Amino acid sequence: MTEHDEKSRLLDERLSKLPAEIPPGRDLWPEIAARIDAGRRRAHRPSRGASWWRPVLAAASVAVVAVLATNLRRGDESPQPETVPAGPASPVAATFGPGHELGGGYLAARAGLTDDLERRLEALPPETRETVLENLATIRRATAEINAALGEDPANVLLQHQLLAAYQDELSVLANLQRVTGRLPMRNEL
Amino acid sequence: MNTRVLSLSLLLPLALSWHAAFADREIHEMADVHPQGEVEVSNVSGRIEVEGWDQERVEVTGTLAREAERLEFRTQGRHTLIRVEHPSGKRHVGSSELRIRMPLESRLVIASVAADIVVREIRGAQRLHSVSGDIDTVMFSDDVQLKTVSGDVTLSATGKPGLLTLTTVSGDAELRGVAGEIVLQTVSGDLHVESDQIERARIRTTNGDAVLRSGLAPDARIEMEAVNGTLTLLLKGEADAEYTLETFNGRIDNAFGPEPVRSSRFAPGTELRFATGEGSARVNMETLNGAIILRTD
Repeated sequence: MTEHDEKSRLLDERLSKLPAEIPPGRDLWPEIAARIDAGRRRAHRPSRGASWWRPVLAAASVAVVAVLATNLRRGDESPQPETVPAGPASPVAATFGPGHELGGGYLAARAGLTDDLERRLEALPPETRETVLENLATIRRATAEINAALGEDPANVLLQHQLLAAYQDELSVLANLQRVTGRLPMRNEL
Repeated sequence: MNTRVLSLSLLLPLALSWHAAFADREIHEMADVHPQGEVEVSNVSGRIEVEGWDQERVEVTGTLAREAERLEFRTQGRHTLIRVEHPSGKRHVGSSELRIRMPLESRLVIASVAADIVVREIRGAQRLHSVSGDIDTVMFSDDVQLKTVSGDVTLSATGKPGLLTLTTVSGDAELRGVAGEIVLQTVSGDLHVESDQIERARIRTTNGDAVLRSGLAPDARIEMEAVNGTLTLLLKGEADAEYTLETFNGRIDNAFGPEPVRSSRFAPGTELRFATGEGSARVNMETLNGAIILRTD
């Protein structure tokens, strides 16, 4: 047995004596719950009427995404924000929990569906356009919320399932919008 | 006097031509068609009423908005097209009202933006899409597919098994008498489903609430999912089923079966698994933050 093998054996022996599971020293849930509640308060259900703050929120979200995109291009590896209520064509990060990103197939599908989304939205009545944008933002807030929870509990199957479904919801809304508006004359106003 | 008569004689033709140019136009079209063909209707704004009849003809009556260019009405093979056409570049399209009678066994396809859709006595498959208009229809045994963005949906079914697919963004849906298989999806709309007995149900909402009030077929499969919405299952009669209810941060309110338990020592999450009878049907309900309510009706 070489010296290297002996060292490896000793290391394995010491590693095997380590506990397989280390419970946290304190209950982490209150802090997680507070963060989720904060996210939920932001993700309140959209109303059907228009309000003054929506354009402000939309402008702010575009600014946030632009800053994020710039930082990413510079190689900044700062963590993802908890919520990203972005506009329909904004490049929202497609993360799956803390350490994974969705593949090129998903990104290509979403890019295909958002390609001429702005033009399709322009064809809708203003109130409906507002509704679509609000609901896309709702899905994206839900996605960010589940992602944040998954960051704390990466092996949670319920959260994994919910996150997949939320991404599918977004694609479904975009695809349906494309189908519905694709059959109709493009107009600006009713 | 003569001056007044002269003025009237000049103004009257002007008024008549103005009326002709700007008034809605009555329409009446009819054609013989195949009894099991397909009728496709497109009307951007106004109202579309469709009724099935036992004649092998399609009839269209109603009024065409003054902004509309014309009504395209043509039949080719088994396909009939009814479309309100507008000049390109027109910003205002006006409201056209179409009343259509067609063979009751034919398929129906409707696309609209802001037109309300009302369908009666159509036994063939229906595919109805509207952006902001409401949809009100009756389902027989053939498949029905409904899509809206913000329009609300009302559907009455005759209780015969069929496939109902519904997608809304914010529109609410009230579905009565459905049977067979239902696939419902919404972002923020509320869904209410009433059924004597359901075989397959897949209901998914992001923020909307969903209520399913139904009996379960012997091998029923019920899947209900929500992110923030509340899911309610009100069971009619004796249920022979296996239940899996799971929420990450919501609550489970069950009127029967054991108490829910925490699904993890260190993370949130509550789950409830149990069976009644032989458990031949399966019920799965899951939410992120929304409540899960399971009761007998």
